[in-house]
Amino acid sequence: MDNPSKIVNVKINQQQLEVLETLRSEGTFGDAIDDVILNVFRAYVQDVRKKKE
Amino acid sequence: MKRGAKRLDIELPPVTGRAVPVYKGEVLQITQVEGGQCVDFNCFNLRDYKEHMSVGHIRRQGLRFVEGHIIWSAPPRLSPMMYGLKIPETCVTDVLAARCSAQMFELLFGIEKHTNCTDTFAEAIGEFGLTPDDIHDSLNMWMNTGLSEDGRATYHWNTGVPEEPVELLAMMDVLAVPIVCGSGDILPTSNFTLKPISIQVYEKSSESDEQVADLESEYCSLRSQKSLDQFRTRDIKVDRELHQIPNYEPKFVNYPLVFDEVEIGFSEQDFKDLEYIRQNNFPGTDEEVVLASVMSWIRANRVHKDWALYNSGVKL
Repeated sequence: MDNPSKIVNVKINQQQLEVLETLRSEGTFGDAIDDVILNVFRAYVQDVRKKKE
Repeated sequence: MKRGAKRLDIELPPVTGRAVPVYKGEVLQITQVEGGQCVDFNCFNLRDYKEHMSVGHIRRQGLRFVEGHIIWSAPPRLSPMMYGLKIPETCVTDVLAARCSAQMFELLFGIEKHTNCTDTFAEAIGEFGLTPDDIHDSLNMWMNTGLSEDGRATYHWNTGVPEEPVELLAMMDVLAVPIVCGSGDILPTSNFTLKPISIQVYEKSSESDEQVADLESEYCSLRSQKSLDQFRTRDIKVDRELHQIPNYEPKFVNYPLVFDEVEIGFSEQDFKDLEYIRQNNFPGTDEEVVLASVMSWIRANRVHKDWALYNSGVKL
């Protein structure tokens, strides 16, 4: 992430991490857990906006 | 699906019931004789009565039990016990209302002795040595209930007809207990007349065996489905009073939870999006909004599609 304008700290437990690891292993959301979280968040936003259109 | 030979065909007059062993691969048919009669249903593992169906987990498939749904036993076993082979539209099912009881009629009408599902179940399962305490929540067939806007049960005309029976395929050896509901003469569930039903059991066939095998490969493959030998405490208590076991230490799953803190760099646009989600979906802190969004996306897009059980009700 280049020049982030704000940092959000997210606390995840080992069970949430296990679920996120499956997405990381897919390779489409990034190689690091913070990238996976950010990109899945963006995917969610996109779905919500699409649904509201 | 071709069924085997009919091995049982009995009529259950009002207000009776019958506990019937139905073996793996066999089909239990429940038929209206005149129509419009509510039927309550219990189901036990014939080989281990402590495993019985869970209406709560049937309900996870939807607020109606319909064709293609599973009668599940309670977790941690969560075994498919029976499969909804045929549930006609005229059989509206109910998984919300608990079974009726004598106490309910006394509370409602001040009468002490009225036919009721609890006492009928008790008499039916007594044939197999089960007690009234072993009765569990019932799956109600031909019980046309709804929900009012304020969350109360509503009762509508019973649409059951004799030509359209229910068929349940046994996926394990079960003790199936269909009974004539006893409430419907003074409550609306059976259109104010108590009527007989009939039950038939069809032996297994090569086709029913095949269907069971298909369903087993779909629903019996979870590593977390526990069998009795995996229970830490497995003996059935014989005394009624509860006593603390000295030095017992529970071993809770994944306890204690361990947390990692992950730093996420948000762009201006991401942060605007976060505000948008906070306004429209999750009114929490930044962290809560992000976590809720991520987990909701995963739930909507990555749950195992075969497991309808946990795949419903996802709301973006």
